Amino acid sequence: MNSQPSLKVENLRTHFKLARPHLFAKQPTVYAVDGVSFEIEQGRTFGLVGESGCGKSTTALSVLRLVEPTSGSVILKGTDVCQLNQEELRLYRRNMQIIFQDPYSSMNPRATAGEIIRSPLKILNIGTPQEQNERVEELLKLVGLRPEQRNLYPHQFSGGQRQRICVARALAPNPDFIVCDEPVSALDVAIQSQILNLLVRLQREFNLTYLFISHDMAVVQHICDDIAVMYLGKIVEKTDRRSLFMNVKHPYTKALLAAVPTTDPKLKGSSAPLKGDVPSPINPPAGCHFHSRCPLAEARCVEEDPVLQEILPNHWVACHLA
Amino acid sequence: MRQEPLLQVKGLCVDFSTKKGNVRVLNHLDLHLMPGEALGIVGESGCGKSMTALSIMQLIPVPPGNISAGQILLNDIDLLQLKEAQMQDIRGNEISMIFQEPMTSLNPVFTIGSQVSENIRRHQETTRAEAKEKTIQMLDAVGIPVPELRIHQYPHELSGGMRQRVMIAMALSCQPSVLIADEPTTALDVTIQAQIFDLLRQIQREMKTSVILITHDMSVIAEFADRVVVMYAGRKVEEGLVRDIIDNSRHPYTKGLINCVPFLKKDPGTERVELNEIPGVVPNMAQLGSGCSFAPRCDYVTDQCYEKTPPEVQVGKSHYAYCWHIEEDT
Repeated sequence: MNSQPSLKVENLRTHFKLARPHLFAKQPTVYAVDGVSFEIEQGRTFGLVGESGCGKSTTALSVLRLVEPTSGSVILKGTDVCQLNQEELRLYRRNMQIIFQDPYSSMNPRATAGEIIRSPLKILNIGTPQEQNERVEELLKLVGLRPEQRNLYPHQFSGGQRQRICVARALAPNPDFIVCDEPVSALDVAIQSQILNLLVRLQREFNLTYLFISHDMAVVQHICDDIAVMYLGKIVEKTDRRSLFMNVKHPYTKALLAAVPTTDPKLKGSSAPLKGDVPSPINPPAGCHFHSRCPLAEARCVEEDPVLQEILPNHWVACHLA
Repeated sequence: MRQEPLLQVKGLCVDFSTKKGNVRVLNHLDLHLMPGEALGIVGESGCGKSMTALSIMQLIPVPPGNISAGQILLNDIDLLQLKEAQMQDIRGNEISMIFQEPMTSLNPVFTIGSQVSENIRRHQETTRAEAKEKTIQMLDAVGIPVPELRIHQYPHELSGGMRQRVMIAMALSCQPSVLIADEPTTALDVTIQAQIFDLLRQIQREMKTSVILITHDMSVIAEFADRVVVMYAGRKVEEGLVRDIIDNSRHPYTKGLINCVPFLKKDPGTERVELNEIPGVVPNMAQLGSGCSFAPRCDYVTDQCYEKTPPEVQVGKSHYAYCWHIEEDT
């Protein structure tokens, strides 16, 4: 395996300033992504997992600069994406594409499947119209659709087929790096497996690098090589797939795993379900953000914010007690 | 111990008239629910599982919907023969339902206290003060902190998990004998989902409520249900105790449904295995033939499958499958 990092994200922060509740109030800020760093090697899948509101999607959008990050750097194949100007960024987008959660709302309902898949080629000026046509046909076959379906509109496809069109659109400009933002959450269980297998097959064929966002631990375990668990804008645990599941360290990850329903009663962890909801990211709890729900919290956790430390080779945990 | 079923659905057929003609969304469905039991109904979208729940509650819009045949017996009373006014006494009292999206099923312009007490005052002879007290008691029972203050809040002031708890409090306020939960946790995070299932399990134990759980998630079924009905295209394809279905499923569709989902493993291994796929998509309900509706996607299909409705085959104690090819398979 080639071990040069394809994508390197360093200390990424994305903060959203909200309207002041009244004229003299302090401006409230949502710390959606607060100092996230990770690397992905070429041809591997990096998973970001967490509850809703933990900042996993904002991280993904900030990496592509679909949301402007507040600070930090995103280095894709040696280029700092955060330093590019608008025109450079537009052209650089051919290297980085995205697949969204809901395939229907991420396509123009008035464009045909062919036009949708062709649009990145047109925007980026890749090839002659003739070449673009051939590419669309090739892509349709690649994702398991028939070339004659290019003239159909999104509503004429099923959910799974629509997601295939989105995959084909993301592949069109031949990117190295694709963000998959909950690509199977909106699909039926039987269709999920078809799309997951398709993503794996395409990765092998084109040596693609994936950033895979999901809230579903079982899907993440299945598809990702390396996994980071996020909580309130920060990574709390980061390691490879095997050590995360076999040697889980952070109490939040443990709780998350215990909450996943399984078909095998023997696997059921003894850990009690997590109490309460995720706190608001506007005023996150001081110290360790997780202390308000943590069964092990001590006085130190309330005061001091734990840093992400490498406690075992390639196993990073942000917890005072790990 | 031999018990009489609490709720029985016999030969239920539901039709919807559409522009393209009559569509049969439920086709001779038989179900039964024992007292205190948790029955899971599982299937892909469009298989008729929510339609089953709505038929039991008689909440199907008529027209275009129409219950064309069958019986729904609750303690030997056929709900389909009741007048709407009589049904209103049963809904929310004998049978309650919780829905998938708690935000859209709560009224945004009333406080949660008034919405829970409305149900109590509709079905029980109480004063306002008693109803209020009962409301606080119910909200407390479903794990809502400081219920005395919460009753004055509106749905938008609560989180998704809290709203679902309010829905559960409302559904249980009159101690129903049957609770139908239609995908109660699909819109919630896994940690909140675990909390809600713990709550439902506790209620089922303490109040002796029978629960029908409708979901597409086999692992939720495995954790919660005692018995499972697997549905496909408006028909039952397999029925049995939860361990029989999960460990020893006999219908090709059930097998496919279980094998195509990635399940969490203790040791994920280093190699990535390919998931099984069920080829194709759910059939269009308007174009179902007379044979087995799963035939076009099935690995074991023969000519017979396309022509005749598959028979009921008993494959174990209270384990039934509806397929032409059960024997060859073992």
